Amino acid sequence: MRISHEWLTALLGPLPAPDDVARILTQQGLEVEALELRGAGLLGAVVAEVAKLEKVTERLTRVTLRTAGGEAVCVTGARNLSPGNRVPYAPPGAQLPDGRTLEVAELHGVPSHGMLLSADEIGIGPDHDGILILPQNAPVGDDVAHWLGLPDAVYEIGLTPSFAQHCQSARGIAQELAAPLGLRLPAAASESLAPREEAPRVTVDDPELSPLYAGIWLVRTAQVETPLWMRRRLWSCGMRSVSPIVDLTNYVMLEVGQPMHPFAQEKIQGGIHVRCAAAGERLLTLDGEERALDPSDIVIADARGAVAIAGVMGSARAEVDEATDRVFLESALFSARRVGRTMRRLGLRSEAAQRFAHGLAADLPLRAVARVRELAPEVGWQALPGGLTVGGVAPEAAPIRVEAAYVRTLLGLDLTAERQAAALESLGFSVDVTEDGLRVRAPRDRIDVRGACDVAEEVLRAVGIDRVAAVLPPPAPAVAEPEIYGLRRSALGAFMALGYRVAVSYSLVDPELLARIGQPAEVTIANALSGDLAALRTTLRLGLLQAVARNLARGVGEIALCEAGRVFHRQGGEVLEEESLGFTLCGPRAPLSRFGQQPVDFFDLKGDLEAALSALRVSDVEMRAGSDAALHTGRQAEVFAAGRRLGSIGEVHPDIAEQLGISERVLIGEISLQAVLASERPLVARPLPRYPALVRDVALVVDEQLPYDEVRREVADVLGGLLAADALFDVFVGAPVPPGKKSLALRLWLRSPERTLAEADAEEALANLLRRLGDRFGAHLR
Amino acid sequence: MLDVEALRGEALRDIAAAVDEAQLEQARIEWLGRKGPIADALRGIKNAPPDERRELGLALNRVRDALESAMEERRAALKASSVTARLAREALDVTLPGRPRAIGGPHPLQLAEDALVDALHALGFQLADGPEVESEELNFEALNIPADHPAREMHDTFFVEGHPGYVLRTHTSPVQIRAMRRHAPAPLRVVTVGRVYRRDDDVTHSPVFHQMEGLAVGEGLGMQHLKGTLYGLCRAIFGQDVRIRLRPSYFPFTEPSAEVDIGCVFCGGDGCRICKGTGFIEILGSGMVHPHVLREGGYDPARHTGFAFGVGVERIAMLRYGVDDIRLFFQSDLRLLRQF
Repeated sequence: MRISHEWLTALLGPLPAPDDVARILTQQGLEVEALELRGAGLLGAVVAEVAKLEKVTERLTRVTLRTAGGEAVCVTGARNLSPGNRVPYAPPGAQLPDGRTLEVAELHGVPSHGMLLSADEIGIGPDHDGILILPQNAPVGDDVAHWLGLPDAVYEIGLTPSFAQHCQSARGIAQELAAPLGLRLPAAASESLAPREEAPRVTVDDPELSPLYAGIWLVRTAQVETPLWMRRRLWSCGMRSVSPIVDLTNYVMLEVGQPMHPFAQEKIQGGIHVRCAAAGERLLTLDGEERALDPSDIVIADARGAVAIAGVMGSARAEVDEATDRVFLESALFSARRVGRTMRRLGLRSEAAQRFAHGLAADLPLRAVARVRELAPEVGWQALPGGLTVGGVAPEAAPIRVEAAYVRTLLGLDLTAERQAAALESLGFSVDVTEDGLRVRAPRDRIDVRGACDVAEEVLRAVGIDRVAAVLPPPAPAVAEPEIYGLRRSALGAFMALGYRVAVSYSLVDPELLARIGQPAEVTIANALSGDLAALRTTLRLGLLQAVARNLARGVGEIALCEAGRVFHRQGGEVLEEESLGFTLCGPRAPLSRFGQQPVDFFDLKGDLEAALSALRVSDVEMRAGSDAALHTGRQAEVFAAGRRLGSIGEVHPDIAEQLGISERVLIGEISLQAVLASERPLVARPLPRYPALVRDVALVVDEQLPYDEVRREVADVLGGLLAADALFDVFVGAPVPPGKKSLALRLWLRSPERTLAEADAEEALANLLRRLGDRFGAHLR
Repeated sequence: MLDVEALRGEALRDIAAAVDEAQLEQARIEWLGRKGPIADALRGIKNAPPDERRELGLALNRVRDALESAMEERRAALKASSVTARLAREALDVTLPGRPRAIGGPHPLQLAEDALVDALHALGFQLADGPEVESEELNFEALNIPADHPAREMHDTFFVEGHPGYVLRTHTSPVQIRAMRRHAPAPLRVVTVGRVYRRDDDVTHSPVFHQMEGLAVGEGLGMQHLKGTLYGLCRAIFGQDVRIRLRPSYFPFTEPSAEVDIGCVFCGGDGCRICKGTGFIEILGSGMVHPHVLREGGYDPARHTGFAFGVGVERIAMLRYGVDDIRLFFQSDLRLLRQF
């Protein structure tokens, strides 16, 4: 909502400077988002009278002006001048708000001394086609800026939904400003409409559609322009001046908040019918669009069909035009819910619809017609006595009972009942203080005030939120926190320690890409913004691979990224949200240097995961060759901890990588954090060993195809509690190892928890081991 | 008669002439060994005249002691110079670059989130959690946002296909209801943080973003406690000297409601483009929990009051780290991430 300082002053009397007004409004909850100074910088322009007009060319006119000092001549392209008009004249040396300084110019050989100004050039309105014609009472020679009261501040106010109910009007905002300044907004008139004889029959199908449908008739009495003061206020609110009767309607809407609709009376056939739109009904609205209507829309119809979408927009068929001299002005209430729904469906956020959608006071239509009747003569129209009403004004709601102690507790302010009542009265409420508290009646416009907490908020706004002290609340008993939160932090921490950067990807992804990487969407969005945000992710892989592709495209290498977040699955009718951890490597591990640069491979990723899992106290980790179609057939593994599946790691299949725009080898892994949580070992220290270990190295020759893990499991099985630690420190293929065989070099640390091992113990253990490995795998010492 | 002094002189010259351990050892064997002249002479004392024996013995022992200590000195000197020589040989160009190590680091959103949660932990709030695919009932109705409420317009909502009644939560507030229903009627201080979704996509809006939200319920809680908590939170995030302003606002789930502004972190409150000349920037919404919401959570509004507040994690990260395009947070661009 935009409102000018000039208009607020007209309603309330003298006000503080615009900066202060903006601050006060903001503190009242009407956030001033911008403050515009209109007409600032207009210097030296004066009121002049048009004395004589002479054509210079088809397009240009030479204007002789009467000024305070005598005569002046200038040339203009405007065509709206007549002799005797009072106009704003900027002589040479005058300055315009856009920064221009005027000079003597020559147009088609005719010298022009300065120029005549349009509303746009002065900075008060959008009109730039014609010269701004000033009222005849503007004294020749007066400074234009001074006479127009420039510069004028315009406040642009961001309205919250609660304020939108009563502050989409000059009076509503003035009421809010009046309270903190201790000013009074004069009450507005209202009227009950005596029925007129010649009124057409109005039928309202259901009071739910329109609890109050009222209207008056107006006739044109004179051909005049909309007065400048009214046009200026329309302009300052961001509206255009259209015609006197439309301007009047809009002006009263801006002043009191009631949208009204003028119908050209001769275009209405028979009675008026307020009903729901029929299925398949269509209407050509004023903006030239043909609209398909829905049975939940309310329409205003005459004998020939719909003439307006109620509360949203009229149609061309009943539009007021230049020839119209008799108008039926509708001033009604329409269902806020229905108008809001229609407005959203059609994308027609008209000034009227936005007001109806927020809801209006039950008696507002009658206050609005009273104001129209008052102002009509100013625009050359006259309202005929009486009018029509269908339905009625809902009675005022019962007073709200509020305990003073409740307000004190809620606000943390020590206010007596009397002090609370005074605060409310400053906002236009009426209050009775009784034994058990306050009985509060809100102004009719405050349909947002329904309960005790609403009343408390009004008290708070009136006394000022700054009066509340800042106090820490007393503590509450501790409750258990979800474990997953800490795990997510430590899992990311482990990967960060390994050199990974933390990524954050959209959880909305392209279902086609999910399908392509073999993890099709399970939860899709009914009203997605676009195809690439149409499904919830089933895996973190996609976001990470897209991040890899983006970084490569930008020439960024040495990629190590990890991400923690939820993935979404369906199980029966339910959506299952699982906490997941993804990680990816691509390109060399470290930047280019004299120490050489190795591209990462499967074992980098595997080593990282092993380290991270060990940091997370997950033991008994086992990785088995996997068969995920999105991964390299021979370079992937499924990850288990104590038999529970955690996830998988691997090199991305080259075809998939290519489809995602990645031409390098890229490694990816993903594990379920919930599975990790279930596998976590408690943090309890083991006693330190008491006896020394014996170290033995063995080089075994086995079949080249034999997975190492099988050997290792056998070693652990045979040596049992004697095996303190082991390491594989060489894998060798080639002569002198026979073809088809490989040599595995292991270092074994043997230790007994009970005594110092003798050489003979070690020899015996190794002999057993070699015998078993020989039997199982045909292994022998190298 | 053995010239003890000559022997001593000659031996000392030999010791001084040794240039390494080996030569020094050679000299030791030659002079002090079992077959050396001193050992010989000591063995020959018995052949000397009895009145000279004692004198000779003493002289020889003095020479032996002298040679031994000369030898020790020489050994130390040799060792010192050989270490010096080795160090000199091993000198490096220390201006060469070190062995590069890739270091990891957090995401700015994670940093902001951790800062917020840590601050609230310190203020006695504890974490609570809820699903991102949420029922319309908890996302809207329980929070006093009935169908056709104008506030639903501010929450352009994603609906889940084939799962009627479910939406992608538009805010973290449904976690309030979940936490209250779990713990009512006990006093409660909870914080939640997570992803939320709105049908919006431009420089300042992202369809996916993060919110953090705090809730306190109990007997006798008032605006002053909300204000105290918000002051604590804002000071933890933006420093002890931050200016804080509350102004009345509207949220369906709180009444009274207040928007919280802090003094503009870019211009220090003088007015700039970012704060639109006001000197303040909006950072969070808050208020006293609406009685409808308390009832939905299982608390009796006649006995219990509460306060709640919510903040956009992206907004805090943008302000703290000077990132001006919200979309940058979701691109995982390492050129940005490596700055954190």
